[in-house]
Amino acid sequence: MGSDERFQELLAEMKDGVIEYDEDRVKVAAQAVVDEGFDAYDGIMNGLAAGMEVVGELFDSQEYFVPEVLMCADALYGGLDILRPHVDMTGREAVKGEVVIGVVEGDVHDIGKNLVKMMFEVAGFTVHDLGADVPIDDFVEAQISTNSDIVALSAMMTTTMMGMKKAIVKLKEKNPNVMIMLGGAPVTGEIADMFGADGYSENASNAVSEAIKMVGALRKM
Amino acid sequence: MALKTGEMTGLERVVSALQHKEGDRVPAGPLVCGAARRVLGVTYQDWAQDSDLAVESMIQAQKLIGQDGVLLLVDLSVEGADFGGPMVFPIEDTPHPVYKDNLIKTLEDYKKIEYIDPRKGKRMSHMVRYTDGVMKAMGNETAVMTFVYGPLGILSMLRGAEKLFLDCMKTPQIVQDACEVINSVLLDQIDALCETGVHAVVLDTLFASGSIMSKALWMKMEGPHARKLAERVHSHGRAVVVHNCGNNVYFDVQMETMAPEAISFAFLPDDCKTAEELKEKWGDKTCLVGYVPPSPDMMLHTPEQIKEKCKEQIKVLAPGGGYILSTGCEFPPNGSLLSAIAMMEAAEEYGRYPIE
Repeated sequence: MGSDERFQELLAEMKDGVIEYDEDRVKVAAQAVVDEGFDAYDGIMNGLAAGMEVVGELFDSQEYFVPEVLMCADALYGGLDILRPHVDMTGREAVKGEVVIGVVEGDVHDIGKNLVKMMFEVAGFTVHDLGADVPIDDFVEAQISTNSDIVALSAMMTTTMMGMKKAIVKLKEKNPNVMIMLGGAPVTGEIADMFGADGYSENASNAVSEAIKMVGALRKM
Repeated sequence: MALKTGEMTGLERVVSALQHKEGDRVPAGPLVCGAARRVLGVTYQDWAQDSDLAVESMIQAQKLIGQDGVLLLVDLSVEGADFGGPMVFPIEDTPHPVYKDNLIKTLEDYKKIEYIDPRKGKRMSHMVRYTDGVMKAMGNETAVMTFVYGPLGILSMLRGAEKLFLDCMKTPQIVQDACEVINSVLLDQIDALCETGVHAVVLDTLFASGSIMSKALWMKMEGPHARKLAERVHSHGRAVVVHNCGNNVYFDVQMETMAPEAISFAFLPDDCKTAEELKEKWGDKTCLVGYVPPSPDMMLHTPEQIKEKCKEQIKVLAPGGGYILSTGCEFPPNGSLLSAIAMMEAAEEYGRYPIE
């Protein structure tokens, strides 16, 4: 079996392993990528990320639900942890962007945020995850210290959602160019506009496409 | 001031809706819960823990807004707190678990879930006193619904939702065993609540929707327990109202397991694409309660916009009865009470039977 054939086999193993949430299968294939000298970045993008893309479609079509997606995420991270230290970015396009992400103060619902974080990482963003119940000033401090392109705020309740408006004011005061994305159950596009955000993520899948647009806009400035 | 609306009391109006009859007008009631504290003028922290303040708050809120029925939801951490979950009681926000210190940190910790007497539980007994006080104050004229969170929801408060969902997939038996214990406590809590004479018990089976888990997984993990809870409520001669504010709600399996007299919902069920389809498919099988969005509508829209949304929904869902105008989920605890009043005005202006 030729080298390229072998690599394709391993990519398929990782992709299918993610889709079938078989963490062991993904890890075995990922380790083989490293041991056999194949490109780790390609392994992530064309194996793991390709699998997650299918998972996203299964989620959109309501064949997979949150528990299945979490299982797939576990499988993906199993492979990512093995491949990431071996990624060589020489001659490759720079990371897509830097993102600070967190759930606003008073709110502890973080599943959505964790899924969005995973999608960003798989897509090539560098993510700084502040966790849940994050004070507004921590978002501001993190944005400044990381010089992130995007700050992604999540809230699950109407009470905590109002904190997003205050966060946007403070973030833009310190850095008018930072892009702010909102997400969470009570949040809509209308609310994102009203609060002065730059984007709104209806779900984890479209968070990445929104983020890519935002970073594209920033790079043109 | 509460609106004077004709000959029927709010309770009579709600009963006619549950019987799928047209009363004098569409019964209505935004799910004002935590927001009630602001009428009396007490903090969330006090309101959530002092049943006298909770009762007086609801009395004053009902006088101001004029709901035909009231929901006695405090927060989703009531039962979890009594099982030993560390909780936070913010001064002006909903009580919640301590994020970084869940009771159930490992699979072994599921053994910490043991039977407790709800009548001795600090928060569950608060719920009973709250229910009793409101029933005594307004139960003759206003429909009163108390609240019980489902066992999976309670576990999510003690384990964290993400870890719980993974446990449901990887080690379902451990989760089911814990649900069994929790359910035994909830059955006793239902007994205590029903002794107050409360008209209905709202069972919250949040995860029975396409937002969260598959129908098959919900039926496996919570279905049998939900069935027992509903049977207990019905054995007391009380109505079961299912509350589920997820997207693509599973009306079918919730009807099958709980046979609720009403379903309170925020989004269309998974088998209906329009409100018209919802009315046609489910309108004669259960009373539909909803479904004006708390956000952004109740939170950020003007009273005129809110009334317009209410009018749209009344037009489709009200004819023939079997409908209660309400919010899809709890009215925003910090939202403007003018929005709640707008809903009642809409019921008056657009909800007189027969609907034009």
